[in-house]
Amino acid sequence: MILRFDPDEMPELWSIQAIGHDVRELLNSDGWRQRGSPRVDEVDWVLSESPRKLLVRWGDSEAFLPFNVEDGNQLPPPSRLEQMSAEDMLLVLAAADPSAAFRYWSRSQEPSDDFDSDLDSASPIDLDALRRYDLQTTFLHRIRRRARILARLRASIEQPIWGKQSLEWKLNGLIGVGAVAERLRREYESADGGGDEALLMLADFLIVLDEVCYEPIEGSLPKTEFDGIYRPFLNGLAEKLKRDVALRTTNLVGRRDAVLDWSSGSMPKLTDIYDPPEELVLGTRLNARLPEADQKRQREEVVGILSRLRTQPGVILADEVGMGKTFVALGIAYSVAVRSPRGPAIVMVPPNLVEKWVQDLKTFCELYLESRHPLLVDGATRKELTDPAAVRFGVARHSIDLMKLLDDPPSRRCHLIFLAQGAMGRLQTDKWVRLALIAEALRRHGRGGASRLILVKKQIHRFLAELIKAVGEQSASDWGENLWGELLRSSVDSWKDIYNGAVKDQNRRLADDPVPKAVTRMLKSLDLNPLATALELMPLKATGGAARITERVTAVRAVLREIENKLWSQVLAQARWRSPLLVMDEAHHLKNPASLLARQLQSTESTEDLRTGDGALANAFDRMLFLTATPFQLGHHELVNVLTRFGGVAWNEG
Amino acid sequence: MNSVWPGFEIESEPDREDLACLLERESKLGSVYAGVLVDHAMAGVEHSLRWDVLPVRIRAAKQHAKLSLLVWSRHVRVIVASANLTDPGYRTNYEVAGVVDLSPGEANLQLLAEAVAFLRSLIELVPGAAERPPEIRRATEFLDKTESTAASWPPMPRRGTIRQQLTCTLPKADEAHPARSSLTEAVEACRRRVGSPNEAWIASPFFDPDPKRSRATEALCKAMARDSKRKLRFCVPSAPNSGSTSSVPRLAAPKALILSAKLYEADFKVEMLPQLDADKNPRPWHAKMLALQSPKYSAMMVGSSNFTGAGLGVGAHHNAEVLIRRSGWGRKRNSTKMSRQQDRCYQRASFPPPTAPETTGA
Repeated sequence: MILRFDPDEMPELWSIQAIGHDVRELLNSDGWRQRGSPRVDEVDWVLSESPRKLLVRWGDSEAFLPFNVEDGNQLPPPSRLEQMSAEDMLLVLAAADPSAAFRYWSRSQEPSDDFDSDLDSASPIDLDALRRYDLQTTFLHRIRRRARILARLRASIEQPIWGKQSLEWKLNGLIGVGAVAERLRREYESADGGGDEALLMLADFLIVLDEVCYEPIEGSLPKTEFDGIYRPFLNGLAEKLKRDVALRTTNLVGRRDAVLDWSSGSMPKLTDIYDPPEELVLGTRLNARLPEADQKRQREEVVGILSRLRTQPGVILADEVGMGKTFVALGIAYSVAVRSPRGPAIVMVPPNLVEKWVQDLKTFCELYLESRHPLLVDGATRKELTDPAAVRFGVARHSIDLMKLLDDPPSRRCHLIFLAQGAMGRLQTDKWVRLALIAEALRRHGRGGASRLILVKKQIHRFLAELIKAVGEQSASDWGENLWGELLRSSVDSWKDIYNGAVKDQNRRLADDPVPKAVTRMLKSLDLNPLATALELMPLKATGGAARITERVTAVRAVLREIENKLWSQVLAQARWRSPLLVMDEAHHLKNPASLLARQLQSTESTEDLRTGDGALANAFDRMLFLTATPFQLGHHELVNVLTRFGGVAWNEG
Repeated sequence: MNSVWPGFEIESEPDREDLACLLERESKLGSVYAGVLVDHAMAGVEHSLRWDVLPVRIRAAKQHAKLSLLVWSRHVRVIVASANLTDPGYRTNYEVAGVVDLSPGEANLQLLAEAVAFLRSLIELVPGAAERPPEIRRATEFLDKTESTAASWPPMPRRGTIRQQLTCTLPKADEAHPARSSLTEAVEACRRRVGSPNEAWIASPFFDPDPKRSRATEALCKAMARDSKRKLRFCVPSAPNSGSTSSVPRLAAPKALILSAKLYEADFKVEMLPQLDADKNPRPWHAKMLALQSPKYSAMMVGSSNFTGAGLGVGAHHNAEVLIRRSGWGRKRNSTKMSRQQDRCYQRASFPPPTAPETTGA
């Protein structure tokens, strides 16, 4: 850092502090005088981050000292840029509208609870044998996609540029050619295996850069000046990459045998989720409550079905009544759920049998799982939830229950969810979702010139309880009607804390975020114009009598209900959640493809005329296990229809 | 800011897309030269390191000018505004700006030369500028390049008797560069054409705090024609309600305005500037405007000068200020056209004017 002083005007005692990530004294009056009181002094800056401010202190005074950067290209990039892959960088660099590319990328970085990087990395998708048919990730598709990006990059660099600084930035800036090359080199060095593909990408990248033929127009940087900067840059880049890659290749020679050995025999078994875990003692540690033969047969069935699920999308278990399908199914569901990173196994049962399955799970844990106990997640403490011996389960009688259970973080998420059949097809209505819709409509449309809606925004808390059918909710809180105003002004993510801080009754407190993440995500793409228009009709004052107010609120509620239904249909059809296994009890209901249950397992082609729940379970499961004891009486087509439902497995074959 | 910086607008929303906004800002600033000449008392506060900050130091006064010079390869835009480079300045306040575009087809080279000269004057007021440190070199190179870019563009033909020029307030640099006063320059321009103005409109958010004497009003009255009644229109903001139960609005201006006007026997009116927009959102008034008129002359100045001695350059201390002056004279059509433009600028002032002296307390 170069500091300039006017020695004649310096006070007796002073200090300069650099304020950034840390506070560090750069220089003080004593140090400066020891250095001979120079007019221009240089101070070493050893940290990797630049300071944000320089604070000067003298006597009782202090002020900020302006400072400037000699070469902006040397500034360290924002730390969050580290998350950007080489391909993301290429997309931004090649984009016709880099601003839109930035926004697209940053949105993709927003945390999503249905993705857990730690867990997902345990099963890299391109190494998963069962995912080998996902064409989008095949080498051919990857190469074609990158070729398109590189072609766009070349076109982008060939565009007229208006000054040397712009060109320098394109080459050496935050997301410039040099930064992309560096990121590609890093990816090559950290690539598992030989890194051949990463090396090919680097070579392609350099070839495309070499083919660039700048096309100036009047007023832009002339071609000679462009080439005067670009060509030396490219030569330097190629030389540097060549050195780095040569070093890496030398290091690789020693690893060659290890790589081959790894690929031929010692590859970790990524499909271990289809092996029964040690604690499952069904059939291996016999008890006196059931015939030994039954226990051994059930063990064989568990092992056999798990083995089949390695290579096929589903299995129908059609044992007769009394043979223990429930225990077999729970053994399989437990085996898959405790090891899969994809979330809970879902057991879909008729609503009247939910309680029976819960009881069976308790018995199953007691008899067939060593040192494990069942734990209902609803109402459980954090300590109970994180107990390794807990088999966490939840019950979802409505689709919103399922969404909330799926929102939980992996460390506290259910192993098993009992989902009542029909839950996904039932029209969902929830006051919190309605509140979220209203909040988003007011946020999006209640500004600028929307004067009526702005007025409504200020008064709506007075009538909100009636509108969302939550009368009495505010009286439970310390804030009264203002509770609604506070919630509307806050982000949905903070509603749980705000509400829990406001309600007096402990029993009323929310155990979970009231609006599922899937709903929050879908809100952004929903057309809320009709709701905004309807909200303008909301009363501003409590005049005209209760009947008049109720009439106006009812009219708005009708529109709200319509939009809520639409939202819910879209949420269910498009929500991005995954489960390793669906266990479907009474699966013979699937023999009619037009039934609500069957439609839930089918992909939907469009969101038009979507019936609530259609496609809600399509492509969400890695595997399915169907249980039925009812014979297929009308012919083999009934069985075929049921088998067809396995097409809803997220298999991506072909 | 996006309405005045085509090609440089930040499209991401800072509140909702902070990461995209950060990357976009860094990216856009990285590919251009950007420098800001800021009063030394405000310099060094947290800012992007991708633009140069040049602290301007004026003893007993401040760098208050808001002049933006945006340069493309085939376009130059000069913006003279009342707005600071702050969020309130570009998003909330009532502000006013004059924009002049220059291109190879038409270039007001005189105005560009005035803008560049003004910026060079400010650069000289940066401590240590004489030693030519890198940030000073970058700034002067930018100005040199701007001048050379536009040098070959054909100058704009003069259109009748309407002119657009800059007028400045600056402290004295040396004997060869005496102090400048925006008020004096504006009045002199009027006198050169038709004589002294007899009517003035003033809109300003701030005034000198002296309750007995307004140096700016006195200087204005002295500069105005003596052969006819001087007319003054003060447009001032209202004072925040301090709990008074009186229905009479209080104005955020010193009584000295009308005391000084009375001293010079001027016919004056005081009008209240709006503080709310059409949607009743609070919008503090920060625009500064001064209009001078006579039967055959009309000039409107917008820019940074508050109606203060330092702002107009009529006191002991001179700020650095810049205003854009658009004037018309001679044929009645031109001065009437200017007057209409002036009316449009002032139309936000509310009526009727509370002229009673008791409403004009500071």
